[in-house]
Formats: sequence, C-alpha cells, structure tokens
Amino acid sequence: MDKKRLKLLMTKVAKGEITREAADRLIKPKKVAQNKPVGEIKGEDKKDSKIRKKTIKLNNTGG
Amino acid sequence: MAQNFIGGGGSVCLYAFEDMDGWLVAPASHTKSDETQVPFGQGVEVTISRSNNAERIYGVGARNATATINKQFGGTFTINGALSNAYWMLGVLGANADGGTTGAYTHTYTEANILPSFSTTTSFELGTTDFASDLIGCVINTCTISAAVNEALKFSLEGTYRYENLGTTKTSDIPDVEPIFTFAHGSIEMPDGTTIAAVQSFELTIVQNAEPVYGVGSRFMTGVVAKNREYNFTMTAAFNDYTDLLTYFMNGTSSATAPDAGSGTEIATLELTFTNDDGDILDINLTGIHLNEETLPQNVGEVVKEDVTGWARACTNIIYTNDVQTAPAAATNIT
Repeated sequence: MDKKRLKLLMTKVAKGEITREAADRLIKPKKVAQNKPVGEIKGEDKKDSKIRKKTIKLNNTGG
Repeated sequence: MAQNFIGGGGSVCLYAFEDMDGWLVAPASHTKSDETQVPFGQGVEVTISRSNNAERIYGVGARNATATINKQFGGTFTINGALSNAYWMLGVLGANADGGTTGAYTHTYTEANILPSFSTTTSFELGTTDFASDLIGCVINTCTISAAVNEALKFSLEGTYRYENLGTTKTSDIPDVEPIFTFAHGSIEMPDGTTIAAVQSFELTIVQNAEPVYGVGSRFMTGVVAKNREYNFTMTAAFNDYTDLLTYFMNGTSSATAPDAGSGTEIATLELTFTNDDGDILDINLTGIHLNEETLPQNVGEVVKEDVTGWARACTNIIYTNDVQTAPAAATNIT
C-alpha cells in the first residue's frame, strides 16, 4: 500500500471510522493456503527396484 | 569577530514542552524543558514583547514623579508561520495520543482542561557575543489556523510566558522538514460527508480565555487558568447554491425555507482536512456547529461570495498524521 493511502487509512483509524484490525487486514492481507489435496499417494515401483513401495504423505499445504 | 546587526534570518526560535511541575516551584527554579527542541513550522515569524508594567508614583509636593515601581512582569509571544507540522497543537488542546504504523503515524490531539506549557528559546547570532533567551512557562491563549485561495495554510499562536533567562549561547537552527500544507490541499465538510464547494477562505480561531494568575510575594505568574474555551470560525465561499450555507444559517439544515422560529438545530460536525504533498494529513473535527452571521453581497464588479461566521461548541479531535512515530511530549526534568 502506498504511503498516502496508508496515512489516510491510519487517520481513519484514529478518527474511529474503521477499526485497527480492519486496517491491518487491508495493509497486509492474511495469507491463506491454497486448497491442496490432503491424504496419501501410494505408488509401487517395479519389482527390481530397491524401494518397492512408496507412500507420500500430503499435508494441507500440499508439501 | 565583530558585533553585527542582523536580520531575522540570523535568529532562531525553537520550543519544547515542559514538565508541568515547574509551575509548583518558584519562577527562578522553573527549569526549561530538556526535551528535544522542535521548530514551530516553516516561514516562522516571532514577536516577543516584555512589560514591567511600571508605574510612576506621584504625590503632593512635587509635579514630577517621586519614584517608579515595577509591577507584574508581563511576557507575551506571537508566533506566525506556514503550517507544516502541528506538534504545537498539544499546547492548544492539551492532550495527545500517538498511534498508527510504520510510515503513517497519527497524533490525535484532544481537549484537556490544563494547557501544557513549553519553553521557547529565541537566539540571535550577533558575532562576538551572541544572545539567547529562554522563555519559560509559555502558554498559548489564542491559536488561529487560516487558509485562503492561493495561500499556504497558516497558523498564529499568541500567549504569555512566566519567566525568562538570558544567555549568550546561540542555538543551532533545526529547520522543519515537514512539507507545508496549502489551501489547495484542503477540503471542508459541513456536516461530515457534505463538501462545501468553492470555499475561498477559512479561518478557525481557538480561544482559551487564559488568565495569568499572580500572587503575593512575586512579580511573576504563579499559574495560568484556561477559562471558557471558544472555537470561532469565518468562511467565505463562492455562491452557487443557497443550500450550501444559507439554509444552514436559517435552521441548521439544507432544507430551510425561512428562519427557524426557535433556537434552531446545530449542525452536527464540521471537518477540515488538509493533505500535503507527502500525504501528511491534518484533520480537524469540530462538533456542535452553529452559524451566527451570514452575508451575501451583490456587486457588479465582483464574484458573488457568501460569508458566514459561527462557532463550534467542541473539538472532537485534531489528527495529525505523518512519518514520525512520537510527537513532542512534556518533559519530566523537574522533581
């Protein structure tokens, strides 16, 4: 947010026209994780592979 | 180095808010503020006036005075300038709360019954021996903020001070770095949300009706009592709509067709907002507005302009927003 808008916003907070919490949300919107699948992906390698089975666990950030 | 005659450019005027405990001690012990001094603004002009209130004693037996006595010491100041910071508003309204966030700090000045005093140092670079004077116990009695087309926003502070210490150390100047507010930066809403178009000039005067209190045993003030407070304003606007001001004069609303039969209705609010080139904001919020006089001259050689005078009963707050986190505050150097 540019400085002029920020000063206007903070003046409105001081004046009681908006709450500080609302202003903070405008200044720095809360990061929301993208919707990624949660669960397990199971795969099976070929019979001659050293790792025969593999399970990838997904958390809610998809990592 | 010789002693020089100088212009005002060779002089400096800075101030800092004092510890109010200074009023509890004798004038000579009323120590000046140890807070960092700040400038009143840009384009500042200062007039300090001193009076011994002296009196010649006459009596029978001689036509000439037989003695002269000093009565109360009277020190007054008048400080004018282009409004670039509003820190002195603490001395006008009485209280401040800092807020905001990085890059946008607010200083919200609100009414208090006791007016914070400040120390003002005026100093002059004269050459071999400079001159400086610390004015102690400065209290603002009248503050005027005025604006007109093609002009900067201006301020004027008038008041009294208690005591004075002279010296020979010139203070280094601290130029104000805050940008000047101009009339072109302004907007006037009465009530809030209703912008008055084509305002030509506006002047707000805050009067403290402050009365110096003197007592037995000293020539110097023992205190300053701020009595009834007044917010008076005058406004001139180019005329193109009778509901901008005239109907408000009639009954406090935009829909009058005749003068109110009674005391009328107050206009809820009057807001003056100035935003300078840096985005700094001066937001003056008045409440309980009443228009007392209206003038609408018709002259073939002039644009028709409407003048009103009136007052506000109170000031909700004056918010000054800039890049500085902490506004100047009272010192605590007197025990």
